[in-house]
Amino acid sequence: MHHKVLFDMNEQHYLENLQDIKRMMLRSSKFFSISGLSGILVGSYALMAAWWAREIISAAHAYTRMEIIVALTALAMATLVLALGTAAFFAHRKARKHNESFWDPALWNMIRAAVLPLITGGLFGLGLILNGYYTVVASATLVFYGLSMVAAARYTYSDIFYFGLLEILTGLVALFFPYYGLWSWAFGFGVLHILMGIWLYFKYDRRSVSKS
Amino acid sequence: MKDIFRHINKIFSNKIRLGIMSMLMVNEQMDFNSLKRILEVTDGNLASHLKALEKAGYISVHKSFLGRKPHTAYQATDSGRKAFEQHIEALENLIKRQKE
Repeated sequence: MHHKVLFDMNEQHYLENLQDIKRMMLRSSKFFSISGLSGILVGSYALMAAWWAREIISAAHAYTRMEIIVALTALAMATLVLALGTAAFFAHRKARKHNESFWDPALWNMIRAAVLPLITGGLFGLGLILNGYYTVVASATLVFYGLSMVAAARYTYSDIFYFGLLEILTGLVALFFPYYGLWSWAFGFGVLHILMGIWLYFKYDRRSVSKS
Repeated sequence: MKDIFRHINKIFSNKIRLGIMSMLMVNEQMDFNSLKRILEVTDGNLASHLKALEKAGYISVHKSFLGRKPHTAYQATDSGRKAFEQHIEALENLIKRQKE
């Protein structure tokens, strides 16, 4: 009887302890400051870049092959830098709003997981371009990007895992439509980013704003 | 009845020590500043709890330099992991018993 009473008093305490453990494990191992808005913007940049790329390609007859390659690569690089900058800016803002630190160990883990497939994919794509295999560039970059998202998902929202799968799938489907590379690229990097951004925004960001 | 309390570890009854161990279970290692930021405690407070865990042999300390700045990283030891797992299991058992 005596133990039973002791027990009732402590049950709440034990439950709280377990919840604390779970919270600390999640909080320290996952980066939750990815912002939905940045996804929407990044997708929009990709769509604009795709449109611009189409303009460059349609004017191709006026330039040499090397000039076209340099112009398209420069466009892709500029889009990438702009996208990374936007993602970092919005993540930083979200972290500050929630009084959390941006330079979390979880962020480093996430970057470390994503960077290998990302750089491999970039170099792979460059190699394809330099060898003239233009038709598979979109496919390859989408697949490697998807793989990097799947790898990064361990350290952030699990939704990113499914986003990565969709990117991989888009890349694989694109393989069978080699002359629509730019369209696949625009869908994978543009439309999917925008959809994922909207999804994240409504699932996490908006709710947490109304809560506070 | 008494037996189920056996694995409830006194060292983990403190919230900060519980937090430190939780984080070291899922992260290979963590540095002093990250622990401090997430737990929202003062330097002295955190240091004393880390010391207690270190004394119990549950964590190991790795000191190094990043450039000129000293960098201290903490890692859970094997016995620390085992003790913490037993502690979690004991907590779960206590709650389960209560519900039956």
